[in-house]
Amino acid sequence: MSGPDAALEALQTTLAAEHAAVFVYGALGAQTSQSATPALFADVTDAYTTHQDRRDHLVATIEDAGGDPVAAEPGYELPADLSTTAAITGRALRLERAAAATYAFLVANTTGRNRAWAVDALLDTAVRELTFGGAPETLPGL
Amino acid sequence: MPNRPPLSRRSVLAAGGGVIVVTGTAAACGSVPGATTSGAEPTAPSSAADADLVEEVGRAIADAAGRARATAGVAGLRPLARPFVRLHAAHLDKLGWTGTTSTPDVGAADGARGALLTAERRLQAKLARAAGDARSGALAQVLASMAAAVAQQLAVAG
Repeated sequence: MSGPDAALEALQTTLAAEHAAVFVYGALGAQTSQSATPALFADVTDAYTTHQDRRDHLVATIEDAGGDPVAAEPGYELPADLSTTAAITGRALRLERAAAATYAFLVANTTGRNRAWAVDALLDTAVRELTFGGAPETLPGL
Repeated sequence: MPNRPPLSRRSVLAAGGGVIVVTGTAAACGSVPGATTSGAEPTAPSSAADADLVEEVGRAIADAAGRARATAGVAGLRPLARPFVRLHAAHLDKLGWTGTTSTPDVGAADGARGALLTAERRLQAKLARAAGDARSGALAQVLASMAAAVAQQLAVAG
């Protein structure tokens, strides 16, 4: 598969990932205290908003391309214990690393404006990994 | 976001007289039936235009590496500059770029720090643009990832 079909499939895959990200960040936010851990609360809230925006952008892009955007699953798997800052941060870091891989995949399978958008998302996600305790990598997302 | 085992991709980019091996990994972090990554391929095969792009990007990275090396020699700036030196060396190796580079005179610490960070921001932007220009999806992926790596180092540098 190549060209528009591959691009649309990659956009759908990315949208599926963003549905999951929004769900997981919603759960992480619910387990984060604004008063006890304000910095973590702000970081999780910012990430949640960013992934929501990306999800909405992907829905619009897929619709504009004539596709039918994939729907969110009823639920997604979460760690049993999200009671500690370390658990929340660790889950967020895993999520951002997975998102970086997804956006690298999207870069490879799109062109033009969609690719440029995917590149921006990859850069943002890579830097966001650091917010959640990640270390700089030689090739984030690959 | 549920994890999915990464998909490996190995793409050989024939560039001019040499051969650049671009390896990449793509993974989706969603889990939706029917939304698979397995059939996806890079957007276009490699081309002579990509060979020129690799040469241009390699030169830009090498220039940045030269500045970072020179900056690492300035008192107090080694901890800032060394990670950029290592990163650029790894990226040049990935591209198979073997050209020569000059080492600029970066002056004193106060100006050298700002000049280094400005040069790295420019390189990040160039890599991002090059990712957009690449004909091969696999090359675009690698260049975008390189831009992301520079962005991470800049974030750490503050």
